[in-house]
Amino acid sequence: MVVMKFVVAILISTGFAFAKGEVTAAFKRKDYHTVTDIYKAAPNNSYSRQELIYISYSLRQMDFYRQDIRLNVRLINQKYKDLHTKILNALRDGDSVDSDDYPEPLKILYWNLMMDFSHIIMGYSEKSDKLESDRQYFITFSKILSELEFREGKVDKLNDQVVAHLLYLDNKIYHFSSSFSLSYVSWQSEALLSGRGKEIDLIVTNKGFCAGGDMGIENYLWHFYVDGCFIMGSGGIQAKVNSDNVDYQQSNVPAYGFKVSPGASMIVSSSKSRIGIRFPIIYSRQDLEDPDPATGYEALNENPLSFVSTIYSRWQFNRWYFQTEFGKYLQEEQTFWGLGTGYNF
Amino acid sequence: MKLVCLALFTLLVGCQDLNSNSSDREKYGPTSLIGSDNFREAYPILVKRCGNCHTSNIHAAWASYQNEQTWIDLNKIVPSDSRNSQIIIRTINTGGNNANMPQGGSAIPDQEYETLIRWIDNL
Amino acid sequence: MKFIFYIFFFFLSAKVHAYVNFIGHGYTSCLNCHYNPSGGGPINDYGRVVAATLISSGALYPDNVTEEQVANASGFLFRKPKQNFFRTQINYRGFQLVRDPGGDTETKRWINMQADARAILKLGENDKFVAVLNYGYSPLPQGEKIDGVKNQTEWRSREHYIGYRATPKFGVYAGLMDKVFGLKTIEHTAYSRTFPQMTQNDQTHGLMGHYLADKWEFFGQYFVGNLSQEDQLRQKGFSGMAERTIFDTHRIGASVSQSKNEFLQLLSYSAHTKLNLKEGSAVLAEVGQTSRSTENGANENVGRFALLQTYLRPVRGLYVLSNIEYNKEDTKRSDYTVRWGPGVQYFPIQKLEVRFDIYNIRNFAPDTSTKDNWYYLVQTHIWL
Repeated sequence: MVVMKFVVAILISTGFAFAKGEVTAAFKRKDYHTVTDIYKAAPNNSYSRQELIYISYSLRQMDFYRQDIRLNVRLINQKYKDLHTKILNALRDGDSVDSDDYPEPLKILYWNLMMDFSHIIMGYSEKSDKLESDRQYFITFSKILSELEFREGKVDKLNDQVVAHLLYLDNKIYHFSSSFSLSYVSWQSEALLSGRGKEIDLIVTNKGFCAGGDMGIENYLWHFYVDGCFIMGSGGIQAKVNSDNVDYQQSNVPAYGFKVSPGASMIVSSSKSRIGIRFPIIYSRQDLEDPDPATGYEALNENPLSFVSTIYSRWQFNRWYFQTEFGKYLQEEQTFWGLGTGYNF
Repeated sequence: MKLVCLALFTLLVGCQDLNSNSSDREKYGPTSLIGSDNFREAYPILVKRCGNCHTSNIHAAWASYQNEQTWIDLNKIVPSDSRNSQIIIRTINTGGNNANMPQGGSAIPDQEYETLIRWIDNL
Repeated sequence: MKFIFYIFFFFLSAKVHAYVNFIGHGYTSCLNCHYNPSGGGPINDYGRVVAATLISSGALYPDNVTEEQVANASGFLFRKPKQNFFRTQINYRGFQLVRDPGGDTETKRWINMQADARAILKLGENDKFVAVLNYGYSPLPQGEKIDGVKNQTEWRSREHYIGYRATPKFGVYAGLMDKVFGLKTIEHTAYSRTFPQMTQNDQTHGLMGHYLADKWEFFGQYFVGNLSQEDQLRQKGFSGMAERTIFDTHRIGASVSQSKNEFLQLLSYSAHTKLNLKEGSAVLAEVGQTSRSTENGANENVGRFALLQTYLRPVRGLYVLSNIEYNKEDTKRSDYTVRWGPGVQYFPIQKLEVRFDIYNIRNFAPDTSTKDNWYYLVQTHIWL
């Protein structure tokens, strides 16, 4: 039994020796995958200091940041536990820290930890409780390194990158938005003079105001919403039919209705100016007078409902904005345009 | 040196001088109209409504057509037939697809439009 | 005597086209990029680099091309200049104009609007002394007759002037150049340009003073018309413009111009603003009025105009824009016109611009209702 234990011990130590030699060899040929495999198979082996450096580097190369964190924390606890406790207490109590009291290898371990947490944070695609926990660790190691005045420029740069990513995650989140708007609008609509077996197109040119607003969701890049407004205006109507001596003309005929538009915009600047498309559905009513009965014609309104596609632009000035909209009726010749202002709630 | 001066002189006097004022004499200077009384009424309307674009700066200088016959010779109008005259066909009052003048400007008011028609139909 | 007079107005060139919307990139004064402090004309070395690296898209360059390499290729014929006193530029602009698209009177025409060569002599520290010449092709308009045009050649000097900056803040310029007035937009057929007669061919011989303070900028100009033109037709007078930077990034300004020839007197006022909405997005606006008095009493009126230009830059090199114009030919009448022009402007690489604009014109009058006019332009602009 003793012999068996001795033989097993020899085999294991040979295996260990083999494994340890293999770490160095694999690292030197940049085979980080093999290095990490060896470590994962036997994480509690007593690796040399140099081998641990190789393993830590390889773990980071292979994006095994959490394993690297565990390795570095283990090393800190094994070799620098008192110093680690000392610096944590100093940070907690607001005491000054003398960088010379802390050896270079410890500072490098802190740097590795900060880098690992930065990579983990920048790998998140949305906010979560785990992210917040990782962020706290990142801040802790960032503060330690600042107190130790170690690689200050690189620490600042890493801080900036992480802050930018966290801001991006914040900005990615959609939030509810709403606003009120008032626009000066113009649109042409269709009507007919019907009679004597003929139909004559009437040109109706309207102008007025559209008061309403929008509701939707937006983040730093996209805005999806529904816009609605009530239209109040008036228009002129005209047609000439020289052959029948018909000269139909009306001015300032009241027009009213409403416009509902689903839309999507892309936010293109840090001032939140945006450009997008809308698909308004316009309902408008306008009562036309019939021409003199002796002409044999009567005025007919066409379908009061119109479908339009428009290009929409908005320029934001804090909560106020200025907007334009221009588009064409689908399968018709007429156009709709508007320019106005609005206020975000 | 002589070449430089020659180049300068050529540059300054030999270059095209077309600009917004090239037709000012015809549009705003004294006129000497030759034609019917109806033409004397129609001509100021044509200059006012069409002359800003139909100038030598952009197109032909209609303000220089101070002879009624010029309008006929250039096929702008068909005597006694306003319906088939280009300046009537192309003005937007008819509301048809052919009609898109004055482009970028206000429509010719009905009264002035009738003056033009009267001029042409009475030729 | 006349010859000496001509010699005094020795030539320098400046181009008439300017991109006022580049206030969206933080440039409040045109002097940053142009030899002519009122904008337009040839751009200086800094302007070339800005055009190459900030304005133009980098999407078509291979990945290994650096911004520095792009900047170094911004010179004439893609070369970095080897000396500091002489520059040349070539400029071409052409477009396809389609009127009444899809309609019975649809017309299509390719127009070679401009083909210029420019030479710039610049001497002294910070280009204290400049002499600019811009000479090129200018097609005569179609038509049967061109009265009032003495020289019916298709070549013209667009600008030629000398400039001297006594200090970085103050400069004087003499020669043939654009009149100073309002927003010098690229759209020379805009009502804000045609009403006060500030179009692409309305350069004038004159003397201009320019003063640039911390937040203010002033222009004053006395002009005698284009000396190539016969004397009776030359508009002579003065113009002035003042601008102020507000909130560090925006500009507001006002302009006045008064001139007359034997037949027509003009008095124009305008107020304008240029708003920087960051990362290349901008809003430009101008409102103004022109009063005309004529020798024969015809066409005497006060006309009003307004321009709103909006630019949004979704990605580098691409601008989505709208031109919205208002035109009331005669304030005594109630009718007016609105012209709406959405468009897209793309700079795929440096020295190349492609642009598409569509225009809709709607008339508003109490006793008429007429169909909209439509036309569109597809434009190519190349400069070397």
